[in-house]
Amino acid sequence: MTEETLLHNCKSCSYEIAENARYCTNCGTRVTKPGTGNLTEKKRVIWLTGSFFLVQLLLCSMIHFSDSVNTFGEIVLFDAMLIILTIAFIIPSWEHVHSALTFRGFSMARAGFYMLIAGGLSIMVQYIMTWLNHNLFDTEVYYFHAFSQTDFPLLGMFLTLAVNPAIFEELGFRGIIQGSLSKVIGETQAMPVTAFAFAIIHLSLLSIVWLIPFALLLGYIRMRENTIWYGVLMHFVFNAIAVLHDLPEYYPI
Amino acid sequence: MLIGDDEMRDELSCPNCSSPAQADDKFCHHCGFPIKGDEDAAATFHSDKNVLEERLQTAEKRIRQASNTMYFLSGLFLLAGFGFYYLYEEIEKPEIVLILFLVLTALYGGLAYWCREQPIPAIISGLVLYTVTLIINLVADASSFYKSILVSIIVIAFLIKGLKAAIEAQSLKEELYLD
Repeated sequence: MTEETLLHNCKSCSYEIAENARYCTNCGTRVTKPGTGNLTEKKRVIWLTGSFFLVQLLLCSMIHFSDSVNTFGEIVLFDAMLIILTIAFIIPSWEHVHSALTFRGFSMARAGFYMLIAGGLSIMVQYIMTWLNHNLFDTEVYYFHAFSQTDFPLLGMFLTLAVNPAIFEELGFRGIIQGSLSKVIGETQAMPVTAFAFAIIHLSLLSIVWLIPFALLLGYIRMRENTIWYGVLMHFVFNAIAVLHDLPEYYPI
Repeated sequence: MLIGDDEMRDELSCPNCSSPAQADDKFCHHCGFPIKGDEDAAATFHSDKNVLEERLQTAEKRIRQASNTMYFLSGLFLLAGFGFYYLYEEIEKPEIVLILFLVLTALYGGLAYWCREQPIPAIISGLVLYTVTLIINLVADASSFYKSILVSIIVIAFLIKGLKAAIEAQSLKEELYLD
């Protein structure tokens, strides 16, 4: 019995070799550790992830800096492009993404706990940011404006600012980018790199302060639980509270 | 442990790395040396190892170049920060520009330093940061973007080469058991 656990077969010539052998004693082929991808696969992953990030960055900079993308229709068009882009990149990176899409072991209690954390963080961030924007830059930032001319301003706002980012930013960053990078640099390093990329793509100087810790938290939970769905729920709660925080300006209580 | 068991113990050992070998081993389990091979086989073994080591050295040189590129960016933002602060009086909020440039100086400096230890995540982060600043530059002030486009291309080329080399070095180190 013990003999069998200590032996395995060479991938090249099927000769029985010891577990701790680096090379096959029969044909000299190097024993590769399971889980380490080969060089071409790693390069492919890096190129794929890099181009996904770059296209997303171009899209984000378009909506962020151009004055023309302000109407509801244009926001919907932008969202649709991001969704198509994310789905288009999920297909070639499927093998790195699919394991994080599982609901196996999903616990409602844990989800509730994480959502509470996200809610608390969001309330804190909203108040601090409103105060900072007001006192540092003399500006007020509200999202409602673009939606106020449509028939369903509240619904439109929730879909484009809370539901859509929760699902597709999580799929894109915690799913595609963190999942792919994990295969090249390992999980513990993929997490902070993804968090940095996620924070910086929002192209907002001041928001980096809270985006980085929030992204690290999402990345850590993705890594620990090995699923993106807790992150999706947390992201939704976080953004939904930001939307609700905006409303009293338009519907005074 | 299989090797070291009494029944397995043999007088034989690998002529290359002196690890214990069994009578029917054609290759050393530890270093892959062809124990039963002739002189040609041994020569091929050594030259293959040398090729890998040379490739690793080239890769490490490229990684150092990427690290130096980020040190260069760090210095550049430091100079630019103070340059804007003291020379251009028409900037609206000079303190904020200075703080932003000092943050970039610190970030690139930190990434360049980290690059010597963990090149892949450091270079990826550097590339992310650099492309984002380039895009912001393009949108905010297109003329300065076009003026510095040559430097930008050179920086990106060094970083991408460094990243490729870092991935290759990771595989080579694995193959040479250098971790």
